Amino acid sequence: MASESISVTTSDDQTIQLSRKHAQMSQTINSMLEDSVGADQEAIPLPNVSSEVLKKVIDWCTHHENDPAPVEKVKKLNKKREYKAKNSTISDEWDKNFVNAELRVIVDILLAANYLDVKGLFELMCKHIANELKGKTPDQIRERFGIQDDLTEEDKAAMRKAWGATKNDS
Amino acid sequence: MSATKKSTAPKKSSPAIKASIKTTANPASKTSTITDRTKVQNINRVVSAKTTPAKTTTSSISVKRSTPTKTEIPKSTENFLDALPIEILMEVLSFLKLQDIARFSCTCREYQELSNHPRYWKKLYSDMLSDKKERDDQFDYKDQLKKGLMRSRLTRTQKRINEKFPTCNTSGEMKKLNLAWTIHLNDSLHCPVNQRQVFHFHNMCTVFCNEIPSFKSPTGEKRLTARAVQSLSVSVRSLWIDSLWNKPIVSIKSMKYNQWKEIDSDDNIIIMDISPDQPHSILIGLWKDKTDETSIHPAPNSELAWIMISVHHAQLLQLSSLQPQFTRMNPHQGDTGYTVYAQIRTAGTSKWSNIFYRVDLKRDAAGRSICLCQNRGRPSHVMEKRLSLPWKAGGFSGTLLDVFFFDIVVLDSANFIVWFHSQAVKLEPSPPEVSSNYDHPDDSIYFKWSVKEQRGRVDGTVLYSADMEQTMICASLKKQQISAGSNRSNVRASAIPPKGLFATTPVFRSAIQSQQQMTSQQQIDRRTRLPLAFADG
Repeated sequence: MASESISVTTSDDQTIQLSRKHAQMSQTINSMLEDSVGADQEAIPLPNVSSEVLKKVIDWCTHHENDPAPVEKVKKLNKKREYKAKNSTISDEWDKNFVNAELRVIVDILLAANYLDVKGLFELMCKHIANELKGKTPDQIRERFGIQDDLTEEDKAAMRKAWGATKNDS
Repeated sequence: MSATKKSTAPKKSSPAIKASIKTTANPASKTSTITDRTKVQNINRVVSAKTTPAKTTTSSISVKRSTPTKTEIPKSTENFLDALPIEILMEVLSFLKLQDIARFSCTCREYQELSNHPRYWKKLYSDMLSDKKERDDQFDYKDQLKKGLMRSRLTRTQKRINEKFPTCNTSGEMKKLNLAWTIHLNDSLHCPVNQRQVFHFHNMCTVFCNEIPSFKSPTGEKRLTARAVQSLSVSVRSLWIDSLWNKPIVSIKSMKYNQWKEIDSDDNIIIMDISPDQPHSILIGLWKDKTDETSIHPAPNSELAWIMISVHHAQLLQLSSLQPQFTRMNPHQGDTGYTVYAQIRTAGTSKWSNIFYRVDLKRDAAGRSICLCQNRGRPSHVMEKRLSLPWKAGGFSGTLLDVFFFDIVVLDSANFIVWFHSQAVKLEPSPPEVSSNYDHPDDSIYFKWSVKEQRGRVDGTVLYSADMEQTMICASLKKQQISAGSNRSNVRASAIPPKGLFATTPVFRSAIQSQQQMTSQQQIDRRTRLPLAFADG
């Protein structure tokens, strides 16, 4: 069988060693490894991930390496046919500390997790961003995420009206 | 994923990074304490702050944020979320309540448009209808979601029926409902009046059902082959007297066979029953009185005009909790008065709610006229549940036209349900053209309602066409400002009685005409304001 260590090349041309176990937590790398069984153990290029971000990902993988494999939940039939938000609570203390980072980094990790297909990490980052959005007014969200306000006053008035009409909904 | 490029600009690596990579990459480092790792993180954060001089301000703030202070919201100069493709963004939004999504969509034009994005509706479609099938680009998810929600109501009902009546026969995709009905058509000489019978028609032929819960032939013999009418609604109509042969003919149209079947007085109509324990059947009989228009009771030689049975699953299940009062049964069913319940409810509501219109139709002593009374009526079982349909939230309102379900229930004086119908209603932007074509008192039930809510006025028409065997509900939404300051939606209901119920008898027809004149003259006076907890009111 292949060696215990796998080297990947990040977008900034760094070669990083990571253990097979961690690498296999990424579905993307895992499938690459499966495709290249018997081939030369060259460094796997990850052109979309920077070393800094990859390091964070590995960090996360190290902590979660012994987690049970995510069970593919059989999605229950949405009987009510109503919109239902997913639970965005982050339960793990370590995770809470992990996401306590700069938003730019969070977004980068989210993109990397998406690219590498690390489900748990992807979900964690989504939850974190969702938590950041939660309970904030549009102004606060704009400020927090640096969104340019390009809505006209009319748009806002229309929104406010629609919003006022359905304030108590959901 | 081109978006990543933006955020993964090459960064200078420092020895600290390499060291930390080695530590974390080694499985043996699992034993290292958490504090080690957080240290590494801190290093990373500092490094990232150093290596990206353009974003120094944001970075330092972010580091500061590691000691969380709720009052301070860090400012960002760059929209990080821009980097996220829409799929990921939607994944993020799926953790948010509609309220928060609506707020988010209010931040800028791009996210406002997200609420109209086909992919967003695709996601909603698959989430709400649990349908993961891939469709091509032509598939209009928004439209299909609307339709799907209407359809889903039927499937949900099916499921509930299957749970409640597990013995139902299954056939095809849907479990089908079997209704059992025994109608004896006998000459009155052969069949004396039974005190327990529910439906009693003074006629040459006595038509009766056994007490509704049982519907079993007393002798147990079936003179006509069982006819299972397997469909969502069952109607048995067009019973008339063939005066030439002096015997009644009942025509049944079954959805299953889609053909008319004539039976005569010697036949039993057996329509399979859902369950013998549930009173869930409706029968209407009307008389054609040729001689005496003033009499309340049909003349001895009057004819049975028609008979109708109409059943709707959802209602039936709800009715099982509303047992009719058999003791108060009037032998002249359908003769003295009706109460019409009409209601609008939204798709997710499963129980009766928001009864906004109730009309009692009563004949006076002379039998000449029908009084129209409107009562403020609200049953005890009003559904309190709030709905969370996606387009009800602020950011999405107006994206989808509302979908309602409109229910009409007609109760007779004994509080027995004689007719009801439930129909999905889409509020159309313009009044439909068909409305005038079916305004025939003889073969259609014609029902109008109008609702004022915050966004405007809703005018609706219900047409039950006997010819086409279908009900149409047309509704129009007129944008209209109502007086500001009233938070409550007001409902104004104006009524034209369901003509089809009465119009076949000349007695009633004249009464209805006089009543209609009255209605048109005094419509404004008779309009009653009723509070309606409208879907988003």
